[in-house]
Formats: sequence, structure tokens, C-alpha cells
Amino acid sequence: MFEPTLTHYLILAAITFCIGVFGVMVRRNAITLFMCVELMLNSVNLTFITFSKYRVDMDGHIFGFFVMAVAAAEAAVGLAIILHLFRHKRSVDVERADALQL
Amino acid sequence: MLSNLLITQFSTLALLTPPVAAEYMALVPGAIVSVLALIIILVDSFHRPGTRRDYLAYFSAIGLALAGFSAYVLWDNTLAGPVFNGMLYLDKFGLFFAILACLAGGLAVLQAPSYMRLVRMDRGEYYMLVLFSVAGAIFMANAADMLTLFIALEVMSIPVYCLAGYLRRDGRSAEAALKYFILGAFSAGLMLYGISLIYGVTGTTSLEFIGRNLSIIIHDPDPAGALASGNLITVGMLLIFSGFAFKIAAVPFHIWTPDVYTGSPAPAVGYMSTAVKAGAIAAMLRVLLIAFEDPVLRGGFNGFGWLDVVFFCAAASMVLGNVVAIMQKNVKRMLAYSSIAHAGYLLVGVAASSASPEFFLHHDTVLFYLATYTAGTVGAFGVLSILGKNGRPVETYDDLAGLGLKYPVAGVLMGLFMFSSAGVPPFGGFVGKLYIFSSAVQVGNTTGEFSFIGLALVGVLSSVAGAYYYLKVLVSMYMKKADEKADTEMVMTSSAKVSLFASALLTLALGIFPGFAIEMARESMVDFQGPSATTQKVQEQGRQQLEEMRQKEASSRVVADGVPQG
Amino acid sequence: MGFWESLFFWIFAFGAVLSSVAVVAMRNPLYSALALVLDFFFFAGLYGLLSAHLMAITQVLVYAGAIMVLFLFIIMLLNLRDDELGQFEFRIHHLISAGAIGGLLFFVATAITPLVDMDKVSADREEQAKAYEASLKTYENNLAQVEGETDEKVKAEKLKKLEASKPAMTLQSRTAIKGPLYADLNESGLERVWQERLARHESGQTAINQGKWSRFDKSTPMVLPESLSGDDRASFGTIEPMSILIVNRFVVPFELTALLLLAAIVGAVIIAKRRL
Repeated sequence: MFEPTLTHYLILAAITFCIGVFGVMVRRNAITLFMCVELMLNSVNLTFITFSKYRVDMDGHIFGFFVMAVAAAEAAVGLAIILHLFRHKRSVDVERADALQL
Repeated sequence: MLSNLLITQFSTLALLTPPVAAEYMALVPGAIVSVLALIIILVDSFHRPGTRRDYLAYFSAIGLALAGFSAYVLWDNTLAGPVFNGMLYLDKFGLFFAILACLAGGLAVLQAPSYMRLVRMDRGEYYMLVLFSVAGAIFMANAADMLTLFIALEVMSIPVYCLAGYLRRDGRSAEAALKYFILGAFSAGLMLYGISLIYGVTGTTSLEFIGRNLSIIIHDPDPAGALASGNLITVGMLLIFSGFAFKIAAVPFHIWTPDVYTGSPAPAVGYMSTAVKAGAIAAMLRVLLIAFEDPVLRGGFNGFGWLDVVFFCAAASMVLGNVVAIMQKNVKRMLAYSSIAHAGYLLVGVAASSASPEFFLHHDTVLFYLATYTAGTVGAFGVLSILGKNGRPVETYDDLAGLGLKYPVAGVLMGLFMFSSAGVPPFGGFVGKLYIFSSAVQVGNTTGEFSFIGLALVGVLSSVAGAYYYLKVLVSMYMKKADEKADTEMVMTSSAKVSLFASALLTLALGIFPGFAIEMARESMVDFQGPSATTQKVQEQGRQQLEEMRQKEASSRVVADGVPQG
Repeated sequence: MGFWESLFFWIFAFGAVLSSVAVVAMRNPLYSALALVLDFFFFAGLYGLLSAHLMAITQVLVYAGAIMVLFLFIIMLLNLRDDELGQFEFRIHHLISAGAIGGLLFFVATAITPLVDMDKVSADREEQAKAYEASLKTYENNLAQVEGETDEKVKAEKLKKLEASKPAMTLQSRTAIKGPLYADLNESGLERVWQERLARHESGQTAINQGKWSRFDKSTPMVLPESLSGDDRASFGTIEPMSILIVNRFVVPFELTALLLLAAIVGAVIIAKRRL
């Protein structure tokens, strides 16, 4: 029971993924929101690598590797957008960004 | 000689078993677009601030036309089976979407100079971002592997996030970019989790082998095997579908659409509502029809499956999009809700033609509808991007008041695009809608399932309701009195003229002579690579029908030529 | 062996969950970012336990080292004051989202748990442990025989031979799904399956040109490179098999990533720069 099997890793990844999704739903600070998205991507990587080991097949590692590259690209663009918003609103609160609600 | 030497040297270094020369053809349209983007950045970096860059729009449009033409040249030289070790397809389906993406991108870049002058933001990077995104859309439509698909999805989306936030002086543009970005990254995360679960169950990311392995696993004679993986496949499928539904703005993943469309620059919205949707639809069709094509996963007549999800999303998008669009005061926001409704019409086509493998070729309705939708929507946003009021681009119905009489060209063009989107007879939108709904009715008749006819009825009724808000635009352009004090302007650069007239011509041509485009769409479904044996039989029948049709046409032409002599 | 792996798994698992909760719960984004860095280290540890050696290092270098530094840099640049962060307000939608997420987690967990039949796994474990003990006994007997050898030269030779056949504790247990998905696999079990698979590829028993390895050009099969053939094959999760995959099967996505990074860099510059 205490020795980790396939399910242990998968459930762990599911828990951290759900924590990330919860963070995206409830947090208002754009930077924290974005960090929760990174948390989701990490849980996805853990799922990929777990399946990769238990299938003895390295495709999952490759996928995780590319997910990291995508996360880096997204981080660059996302933080630039947050900076852009901060210049206009003097705040990174997503609920204060309400000029588009007509 | 030299190339041989290079390839052998290269293979000892990295590529142990290099691909054959024919495989490189699959890269051509995408590579042309990306190289063009690189040239544009290089040229732009030598510009002084304040100098005019209109020629860059022509340059990128010509390059995109070249890429579209290369896709047309490749049309009859497609390859059977995936290339580059199962990473890309080179088939007519992918080439059709490549042409579509190049068209949307080309029309959108040509509209940029006028808009940039209106908002005083003349920068060359705009063209580069559109070009990168077009390259992503092309690769996405050609993807044969989940990894290629996902990376291409990001190549398509990340420049579009930047385009949404392009207006640096406008706070609303920043908001639009943030909303699009956060929700886009979130949906990409959901989709990735789905891909990882499917990878775990099947042990591969290649679409074709996911499909094969899934049907082996589902039809496992040992019940324990099917039981162990059943729910996992469902969760994975739903998560992957949600990622696509977000990109095509289908209900319930549409929340970002109105805000993003309102805040972003108009020509960029024209691009993001057409090419991004086209790329996502192409990839969605690939995934649903290759990886999840097993009848058990498909659902419909065989219980619950993805068909039912698509069916629900189609009905909800059509109803919600059209009803909420009626209540809008802002034209861009109205067009955003109408694009949700259009996503619904597209999903009607997908749902109806996925009902069973015998209707596989009906997917050409979706392809043709996308073509008409692209012409109409890019044109409508083009008109919005050349008209200005009090030094900023027009947005609300009040802004448009009286502009139809003041600027007759813009008024007539807007009328044309609105009629097309509303589905009024001689224009493209009408033929597209007719084609989709008649296919749904036909599927309903053949299978005896009333729900498809019901879906078509919902579509027809909601599009009639939709005509109201399209015509409201024309009412305010022609019948409302212009505000005398307001300082209105129309910046009609030559490139904007080219773009608007091209899209108007396309809208008319698709409405009056739809045969050419429909035949192309049918051919691309016939050439669609990767489905199972049952579907391939249907495709073979379609191929024979097309051959017969061509022979008949050829013989009738001979007869017609012979008439004067006799 | 089993004890240490389990211990570290539980340490890393609890650490990962707790620091993920901290990322969401911290009011100040700076603390969230530091919690996320900690989280990434725990994840890297988990990757190490899963024999994904290269991924573990990349996780630390790229995620914790580069991406999180970018986050911290932006947080410092914005220099948010305490009153700008806003007080925590409890709203009804927090409860609703918590309920929705709970439902999602329950759904995913019920999908995941049927994968592994714990009874079968523990039965397999017992059986394999017994087999290991038996083989260890024969090994020790053989060792005792060799120790009794008088000729030094012959003894050394035999010892060498014996060393090579030293039994390892391998745990393998399949799930019910068709295709080779294991439910339980320890390090030596993994390595054995990996080596066996490569050996079969090398000897041509399983055609390497089949399944997802099939190429467009069927006439030339995929060549197995030097580092994956012969006696000293690279082990699972190291850099050699990874690099070979990237530049062979996955070369198109790899090149697309170049496009992605370039577009992202230029896009970020356009958006973030004040004056161009």
C-alpha cells in the first residue's frame, strides 16, 4: 500500500492539477493566476512522465520536454501582457480590468 | 552531388534515417510563410520610426498568396500516409485549410495600414505576428501527431495573444490580451491533461495509432481491460474537446470571445475569428475522425460519445450566440456573439456528418462554410477598420449612424458582408448555411433520427433571428441621421481597397458559382488521410463519383463544342 | 530499496501538495512564487524517482531556474504595495468552484483507480520477492563454491562471471489494459524491460518499422544508433535516447518550437516595450 505504484503518481498529479484549476478560478491577482496555470502544466508533465515509465516508452518524456518549452514561451508573453496591463491600470487585479464589460 | 554529400554527412550527425525528398513537400506552404515572417522582421528592423511601412502589407500579402499557390500546386501531388515519421500529413484536407489560412491572413494584413493610420501605431511587427500565426494554423491543419498539433496550436495562438494587446496606448487592448491569454493558457493546460491521459491509455501520441489502439482496448474480449480504461478515455476525450471548443469559441467555452473581440484591433479580430477558428476546426476534425473514430467513442446511435457533446455545443452556441447578439449596442461585440453562433453552425455540420461513417463525405459542408464565413467576416471587420470617428475607430451602432450615405463604398461593402453573414440569397453565406442544414436534414432523413432535423430547424430559426442584428447595422448606416458635430473619417488606403474588394468578390463568387469551392471541399474529404477501413470505403466511393462527374462534364463539353459543326 | 523509494515518494508527494496549496493560498505573489519554486523542486525529485533523469535536471534548470526567475523579476518590477494586493474576501463563487473542483477530482480519481488492481500487485510482489530470495540463495551457494576454489586465476574468472549474473530485485506487474502498461515497476524491473526491448529491436525480432515507428519510406527501416545498441546501451530516461528521439522522430515539432520561441520573443518585446 505504501510502496508507490502507477496510481499513486497519477492521483498525485490529479490533485495538484485540480489545485491549479481551483487557483485559476478563485484568484484575482493576474500573476498568481498565471502561476496556477504553470502548476497545471507541471502536473501534466508528471502524468506524462509517470505513464512514460510505466509504459517503458520515452515519448512521454519528449512531450514533457516540449511542454516546458511552451511554458517558457507562454511565460515570456504572459508576463509582458501583465506588465502592459499594469501600466494602464496600476493594478494586476483581474476584477479591476472591467472596461470591456458593457 | 553536393546535396547527396550534405545529406549523408547530416545523417551521420543527427538524422540516422533521413526522410526522403518527397516528404519535404509537406513543409512547403508553412515554410514559405515562416521564412516570409523572418524577412519581414529583418526589413522592419532597418526602418526608422515614423517612416511608412504600407509596402510591408503588400509584401506579406504577396508572400501569403505564394504560399497559397504552392498549396494549390501540391493539390494533385499529395502523399498517402503520414510523413516525417508520422508527424505531418500531406493531403488535400490540410492543403484546403492552408489556402484558407493564407486567404484570411492575406486579407487581414492588407487591412492593417488603414487601421494603423487611424490609431497611429504604424509598426511592422503586426505583419510578422500574423504570418507566424498563419504558419501555425497551416501546421496545425496538417498535424498527424498530438505533439505537432499541440506545438502548432501554440505557434498559432501566442502571436494572436500579442495581436490582441497590440494597441499599446489603449488599456482595453491590454485587458483583452490578458483575458485571452489567461483563458487560452488555461484551456491549453486542460487539453494537455487530456492528451496525457490518452497517451497513458494508448502508449502513443500519433493520431492514427491512438485510433487503432483505442479500438483494440475498447473491444477487448477480457472485460477487465475495457473496464480499467473506460472512464479514463472519457475524461481524456472531454478535456481534449474542451481545448478545441475554446479555440473555436463554442458554448460553454465562449466567455472570452466578446471581451477579446471588443478590445482588440479590428483587422486582428477579423483574422482571429477566421483563421484561428479554421485551424482549430481542422485539428478537431483530425482528432475526432482519426483518433476517436471508433463507433463506441463516437456515440450517437451507439450510446453516449463525443457526437452527443458536439450536438449539445452546436445547439447551445447557435441559440445563445444569436439571442445575445440581438441585445448588443457595440458592433464588434455583436460580431463576437455572431461568431459564436457561426461556431454553432459549423458544429452542426460536424455533428450531422459524424453520425455514421457513411456520411463521412458530408464534412465538406463544414469546409465550404468556413470558406464563406472567412470571406464575409474578414470583410466586415475590414470595413470597421477603415472608418473612424473623433480620431478613433468606429465601434458602436451610434458611431456608424449615417456613414452609409457619407461613404457609399464602405456602406455598400458593409451591406454585402452583412447580407452574406445573415444568409440572404445571392451571397456566399446563404449557400454555406443551405449546404450545412440540408446535409443535416438529409442525415436525419436517411437514419430516421429526428434530432438532426431538429438541430437543422434550430439552426434555421436562430439564423432568421440573427438576420435582425445584421440588418440593424445597415439600418443605422443608412437610415439614422449622422451626428453633425462628430468628426468622421474614412482612411481608404489602396491595400484596404484591394482587401475589401477581394473579399466582396469572394463572397459573391462563393454565392453565385459555389461549384468550384464545393468540389475542392469534397475532394479534400475524399483525400483525408488516416481513417479506418470502413471510412476508406466511403472515401473510395466518393472518389469514383467525382471521377464520373468529371467524365460527364468532359463529355458534355465535347458535345457542346460539337454543336456548331452539326 | 523499496523502503527508501517509498519514503522519498511520500516526502515529495506531501511536499508537492502542500506547496501547491501554498501557491494558491498566499496573498502576496512573492510568497506564491517562492512556494512554486519549492514545488518545482519536489516535482524534480518525483521525476528522479520515475527514472526521468534528464527531465529532473531540466525541471530544475528551466522551470525553477529560468521561468521562475522571470516571474520573480516581474513581481519585483511591479513592486506591489501591500494595500494594492486587496484583502481576502470570501465569496459564494469560491464555494461553488471548490465544489466543482472536488467533483472534477472525484471524477478523475474514479477514472484512474481502476487502472491498478492492488490485490494483483501485492500478489505479484510477494511472488517476485520469493523468486528473488530463491535466486539469491542459489547465487550465495555458487559464491560459496567459488570461494572454495584453490586456483586464484580460475577463482577470479569465476567470480567475474558470477558477478555478472548477480540477481536484482525486479518488480513487474501488468495492468489489465491491452498493451504493455505496467502497474508496478521498480528501477531494475524498468531497466530490464528497456534493455530487453532494445535487444529485440537490435536482433530484428520486432520490426522497428512498425507501429508508431513506421516511416513514410518503408524501404529503409529506422536505424538503431550506436549508443542504443551493443552491450553497453544507454539506460532509460538518459540524454542519449531522448536526443535521438528529438532529432529523428520528433524533428518537426522540434523545429516548430524554434518558430514558437521566436514569435514569443518578438511578441513580448512589442507588448512590453514603452517606446519602440
